[in-house]
Amino acid sequence: MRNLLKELDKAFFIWKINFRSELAMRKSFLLLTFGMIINDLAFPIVWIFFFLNFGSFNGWEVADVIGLQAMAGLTIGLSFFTAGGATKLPQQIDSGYFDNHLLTPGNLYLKIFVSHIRTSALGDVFYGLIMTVIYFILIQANPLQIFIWILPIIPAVMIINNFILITGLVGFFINDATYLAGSLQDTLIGPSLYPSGAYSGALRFFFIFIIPAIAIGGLPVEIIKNNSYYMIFGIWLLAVIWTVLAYTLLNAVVKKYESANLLANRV
Amino acid sequence: MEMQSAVRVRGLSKIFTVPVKKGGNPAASQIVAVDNISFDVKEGEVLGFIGPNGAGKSTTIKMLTGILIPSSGSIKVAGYDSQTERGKLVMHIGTVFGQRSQLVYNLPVTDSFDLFAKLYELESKKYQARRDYLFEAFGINEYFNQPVRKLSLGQRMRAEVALALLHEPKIVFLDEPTIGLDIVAKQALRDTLLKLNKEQGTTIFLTSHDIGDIEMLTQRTIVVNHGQIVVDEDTLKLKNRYMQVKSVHLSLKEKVKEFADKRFMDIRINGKELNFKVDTKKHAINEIIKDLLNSYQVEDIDITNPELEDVIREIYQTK
Amino acid sequence: MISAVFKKYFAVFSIAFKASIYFRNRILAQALVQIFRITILMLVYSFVYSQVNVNSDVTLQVAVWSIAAYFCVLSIRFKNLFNDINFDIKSGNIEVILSRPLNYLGYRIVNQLGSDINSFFLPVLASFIILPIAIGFPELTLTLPYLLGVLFIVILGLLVGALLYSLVGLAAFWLEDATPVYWIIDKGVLLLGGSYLPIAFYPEFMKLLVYYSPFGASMFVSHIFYSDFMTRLPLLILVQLVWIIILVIVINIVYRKAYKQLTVNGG
Repeated sequence: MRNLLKELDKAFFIWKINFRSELAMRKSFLLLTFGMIINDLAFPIVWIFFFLNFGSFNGWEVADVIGLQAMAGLTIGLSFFTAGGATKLPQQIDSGYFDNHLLTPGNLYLKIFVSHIRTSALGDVFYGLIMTVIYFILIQANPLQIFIWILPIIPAVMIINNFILITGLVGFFINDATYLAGSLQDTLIGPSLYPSGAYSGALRFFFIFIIPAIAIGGLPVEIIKNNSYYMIFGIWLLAVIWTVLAYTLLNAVVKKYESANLLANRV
Repeated sequence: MEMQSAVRVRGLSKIFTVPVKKGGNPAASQIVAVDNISFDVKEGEVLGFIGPNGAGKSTTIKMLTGILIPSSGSIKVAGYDSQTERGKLVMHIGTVFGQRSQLVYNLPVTDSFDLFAKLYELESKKYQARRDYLFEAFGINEYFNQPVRKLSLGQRMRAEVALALLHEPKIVFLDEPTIGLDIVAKQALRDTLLKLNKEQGTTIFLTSHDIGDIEMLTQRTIVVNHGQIVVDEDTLKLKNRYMQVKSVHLSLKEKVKEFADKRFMDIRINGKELNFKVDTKKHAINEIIKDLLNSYQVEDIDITNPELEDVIREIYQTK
Repeated sequence: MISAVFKKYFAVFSIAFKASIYFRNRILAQALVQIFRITILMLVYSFVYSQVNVNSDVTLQVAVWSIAAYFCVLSIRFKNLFNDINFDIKSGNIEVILSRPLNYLGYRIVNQLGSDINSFFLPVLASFIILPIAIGFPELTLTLPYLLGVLFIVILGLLVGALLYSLVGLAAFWLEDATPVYWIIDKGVLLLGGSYLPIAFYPEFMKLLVYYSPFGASMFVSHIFYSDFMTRLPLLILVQLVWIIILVIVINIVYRKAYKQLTVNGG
């Protein structure tokens, strides 16, 4: 336990250093954060028009899609802001930067996550907060609903982080895996922004258990809609499973790591 | 009392499997990057580990530091098995890879040191004392508050090396630490490394393409080529044997048509430019310079050490 | 002289095309992202159409095929021009390209086309396999004028997109980080190009923006399955041509100013 706390403390310190490094470029930091809020607004506009045309379906309405945008903004934003390093894993492997993780003390799993902060993700978080306020107003949220809203955020962030880490592991097997890993990550992020009321049957199963896109956005909204609070345990269970899976796979795969820098052939 | 080994390598090999196409069919080819090498590095020693590009130097270092897993053989660094005890090993080694930085780019140098102090679990007072010592030794006091991105290459390299020494590692691996530095910056770094080695007894494992680094810093040199050790001896002996042929370039005021001197080899005349080589084991360079200055009107004179590739080539020719 | 210029740029295109074959992972990844999006959106819209009585002449087939057309063209990724130009300017690599007997932006656009044309064919192929089986074809009259019209719309649309992203890329001469500007352009294209929602479902005021803005003009390809496409074709082509002229003029002005800045600072 003491070791775990020590490692978490180290990881948090690394994160703080990286955050301060980003903050050092203040103008850029503010521009990116604000720009991302504007950038994100395109999605609710599209989906509002969608619902204005199609009306509600499978119980989903405009307010729910606002809630979805809010939750997705919060979880994705927090994930990339606190643990954006996993998105850089294939590049780090290709460039040889991954060596630095192996050459310095500290838990490898945690170090990968905190090795990079995506500055613009803070904009996603603020966007998520703005949408949350709008969502709460639209549904006239009561204090219980507001409290329940917070509970799935951390497990959803864990799911995103670990999924992205797993997709990044392709970098250990394939050269130039950045695009491939990015595509795999997109299979989570993209569908998480679509109203999950449109997923049914096998597709719904797929997007909960195989690619947990619904778990990070739609499911929390459904929990509030349907008062199915027990589902929060389901999200937490998924988070634990994805964490164990990512940790195990990372430790297994890193043994296959054959360090090479960008200029040298992977020989 | 017998000195302990900081590094102990036995029968080390690394084979890479590369996919190739043979007549349109996929196949695998094996490349032996390191071929059954064995050597020891004593505690406190400064070892030069040199060889041409593709000789297996980087692969060897990466196996020693635990980044790569050997195909066969055993490695003990600072008493730890680099394969099975990597987590413990990293606490006792420092690394500087000349082409890759560990400093945090946008922040002052001190922040990188604070970070490493955290990673290596240094106690606060001890860290501050150690940091102050290194800042003094490496001349970092003049710029420790500046962001890394604003530093010159020489300043950055000094900070990199100092950072690698912060946690008082038993052994530090320096891979091309003087790459890109000017002559003044190189000399400053070499002097500091020598001083630290003398005062602190840090073992230094150095690779470099700069023969000056090897000459000035190392007590012993291992030359590798095609994954094998071809020479392993005292640097001084290596120097006496292989590095004594210097190249001399003269720029004269007037064209010279003929130039012959039994002392010189590979004489080349190009108008006012004169190039030749001299074996300084046989002929003192200062006498040669005196004679040339007396005989010709010299505008400029340039004396260079042999290129590493020339040294390696000569090693092969004499073996 | 025209033939000499054409040969130069064709050579650039060929080299980029050949080089792209070595990055099979990248091509595959880019194509898979689009195929995945098309497939998921097809399933979403199939579900929605099955649940809701859609009071519009936009059938399921028209809706899905128009979205597929958008993502197929998107796979050419002219948005990458922003990153490439940004990198060239920040790193000084622009000097290398400027020293060649080529127009810099022309080189960049043709190079991008050559790099990504491979990943365009895969989503097109996949769409022609998956969509007919899943939902069938939209009602179309395949005449020569129609096919020529589609060809013009695609080529002119690509050119509008390329010029838009190039213009944003040139902002790197003045802005420390032009990424937020890029996001605005990119989301403009997403919103007005018919990405996640066919533009036929937009309100009238939005349709004006779709038809007359450069963002919409870059993706008129998503209109090719609408019943009024041939009627609107002259207007669409006119809008694209007007925007091409305007963007070329603006880019010339901006580029001249930017080039002066480059030489004054020594790159």
